[in-house]
Amino acid sequence: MHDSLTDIALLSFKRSIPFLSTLFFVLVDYVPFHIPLAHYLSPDLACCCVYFWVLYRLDLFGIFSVALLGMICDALSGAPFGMNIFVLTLVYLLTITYGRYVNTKPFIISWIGFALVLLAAFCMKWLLVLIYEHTLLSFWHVLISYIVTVLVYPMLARINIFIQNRYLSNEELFDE
Amino acid sequence: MVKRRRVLFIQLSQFRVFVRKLAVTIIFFAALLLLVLSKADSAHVNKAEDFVSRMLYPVIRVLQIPADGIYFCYDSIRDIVKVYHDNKALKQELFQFNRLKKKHQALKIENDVLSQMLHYTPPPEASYVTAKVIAGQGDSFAHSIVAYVPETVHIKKGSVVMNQETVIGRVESIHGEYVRILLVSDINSKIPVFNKRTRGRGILSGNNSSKLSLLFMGSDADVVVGDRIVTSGIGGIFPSDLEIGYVSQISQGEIEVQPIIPIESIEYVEIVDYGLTDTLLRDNN
Repeated sequence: MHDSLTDIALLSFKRSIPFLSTLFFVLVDYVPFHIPLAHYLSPDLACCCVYFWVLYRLDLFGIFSVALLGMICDALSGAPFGMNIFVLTLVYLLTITYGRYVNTKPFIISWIGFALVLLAAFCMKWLLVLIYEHTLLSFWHVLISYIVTVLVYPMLARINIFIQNRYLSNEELFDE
Repeated sequence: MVKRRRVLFIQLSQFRVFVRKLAVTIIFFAALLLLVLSKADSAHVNKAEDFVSRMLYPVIRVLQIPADGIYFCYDSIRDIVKVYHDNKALKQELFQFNRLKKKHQALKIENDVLSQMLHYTPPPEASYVTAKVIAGQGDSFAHSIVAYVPETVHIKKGSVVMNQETVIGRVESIHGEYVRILLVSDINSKIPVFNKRTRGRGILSGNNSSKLSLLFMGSDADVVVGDRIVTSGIGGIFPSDLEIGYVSQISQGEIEVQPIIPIESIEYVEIVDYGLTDTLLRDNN
């Protein structure tokens, strides 16, 4: 039962926190830090967040959020438009399909699950670029980016867990 | 009533799963369609991309402010580290420079003392004229050549004549545009010289042959074959340390010197005025 318009707005805002936090991380991912080899060392934070929120709060992170995020990533990265939508949707699909095997397990299991999902996502990206651009991307650069993303995941998951526990643990946020 | 609600809930859940699956499928195909349209350079796709970018780039610009701050800190730390290393290297360099400076000062003092002892006068700035050899007169009686110099060029009697930085003679007489050069191999040529290695003095005398004689070196002089012979500057005609030849043979106290430049092969000469000839002419007068 919602008392006022403010409560409804606050609730809507809280429900969009996963998307907004993910958007924040995606935007941070595209901020130039002038670090050597930044292109190759930059982790795919969108994949990390999509995996996390779909795994733990599917009710707050639907397919449309994923598609919108993919579109934003495409626009920002200059990648072929539609590529990130496709890849993030694949992450979404894999996570909701196989998520139940890792959802209630220790963190290390979900981390391994993420590594496998990310592997599929990177392979798909690599394949799409190959088809789209007729160019074989450097295997080593893709591998480095993959490893960095896998290594960054625990830290990002930690932040997302904090957000979940701090702002999203209220019962009224859960779908009935 | 409860049963009906449960059935409705199950039906709703199934519907939601169906919608989700349908949405996923639609989005997959939409993404593929976007990729194809993007490849075809569709104006609509470009517009959509442009719209999203225009919306988000200002946000990134705002986010860039703290990022720039972080980079500034990183850059500053890197600069400080660089300054530290540079400072270390410069200190070492300065230490070496100080050592060299002290050495240089000691050498300068030594040089001043020796210059005073030798009555050394630094040579004035030299002026150069290149002239073509138009006549050679080399026989048993005289070794001289004639070079052409335009009248507009002022040549002084006694000027040093060189070729490839080696002394070959001096200006003996000037006849309008023609200059006669007395070669070092001429019997009248007597040049005060040093042994470059030992600084032992002597007189290099021509003898109208291709070889020169080194005289007045002393019986116990340290001279070996190959020693370079240079002008000593004594006498005031030639400046010091101009190369002439090298010792080619030593036999029975006679030292033969081979000119570095074979006289017969000279085509062009360089007439150098060191300003010393003025003194010579004044003394002669």
